Amino acid sequence: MKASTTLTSLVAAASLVGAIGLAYAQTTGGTTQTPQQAQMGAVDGTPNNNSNMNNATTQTPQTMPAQTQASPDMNTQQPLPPQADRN
Amino acid sequence: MSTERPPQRDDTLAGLKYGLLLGGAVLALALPPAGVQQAAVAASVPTTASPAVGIASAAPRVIRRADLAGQEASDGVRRVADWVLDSGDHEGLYFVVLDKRNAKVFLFRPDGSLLAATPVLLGSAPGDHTVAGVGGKPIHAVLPEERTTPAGRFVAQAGRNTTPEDVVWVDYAAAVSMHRVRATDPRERRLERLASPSVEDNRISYGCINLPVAFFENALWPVFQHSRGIVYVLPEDLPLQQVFAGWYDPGEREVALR
Repeated sequence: MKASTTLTSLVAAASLVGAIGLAYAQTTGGTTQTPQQAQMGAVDGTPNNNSNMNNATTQTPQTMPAQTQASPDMNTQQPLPPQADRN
Repeated sequence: MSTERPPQRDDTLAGLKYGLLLGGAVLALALPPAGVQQAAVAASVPTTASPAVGIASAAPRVIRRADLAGQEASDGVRRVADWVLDSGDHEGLYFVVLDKRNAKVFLFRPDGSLLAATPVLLGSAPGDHTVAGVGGKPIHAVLPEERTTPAGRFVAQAGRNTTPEDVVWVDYAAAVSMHRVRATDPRERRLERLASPSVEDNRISYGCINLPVAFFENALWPVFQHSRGIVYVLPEDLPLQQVFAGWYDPGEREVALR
């Protein structure tokens, strides 16, 4: 076989492998969740326990306490300025 | 006229044929069948996802309950503590349940086990509300009917009052805190009220929650000085579901699930 034939064979083989390999990777990668994605999807199905939803929603005028909103970083404290309390 | 193709074109076509055959052979060897690949991926997911997710779909849901460690508690305390734990409303933090009717506080660990409980002193006025603007009033200007301890769910955190004294702010805007019992006015007899077995005499403050000194310093403050916590003040008049949005009775749900 001539050198040009061999070169053409190699180029064709590489092109075929590359094209099909890329298509295959995209197909399998696009439909498969990573383990982390799978876990997050499962959690999304649980009830939302966001503390904002658990605040009082009473409509009594000025009577129910203005409840403190829970922030996402609620475990880190921003210091509150000192003020007089109600003893 | 000749119909033969040039030799160079024949070589190119032959090369392409060989190349395609070679590439096909490589792909056949390198790529696993699609079904095998999908099965392998599916098998790998449950091992890394939360085990609870898999269990939840297969087994009946179990109601989580708080552990009061034999401590005497009202039905309201039990139902709210169970709901907190079962729903995860406390977001993994320590939480406090204040029973106003029985003037008693319960401090729970994040796992729902009771850390400590104690009698308390509360606001002298009955009611679950906060009078608008009371938090900004000087203490001597707070009217008797305004001295309520409000019911609700609060994100509490440590801080200081103007004395300055360490306190745990329950409702900062309304100036309601949990603090050591103050015996600054002997006429109020706060220490005696706290020590008495009766709950009728525990309504004496302007709205704050007075705790025994030992409880504050040994149980509450060590928990709250480094982290926020959730305080649930049970209503004395209103129904639980009106004060705690999303509240449900875990006991009833457990019966329904059977």
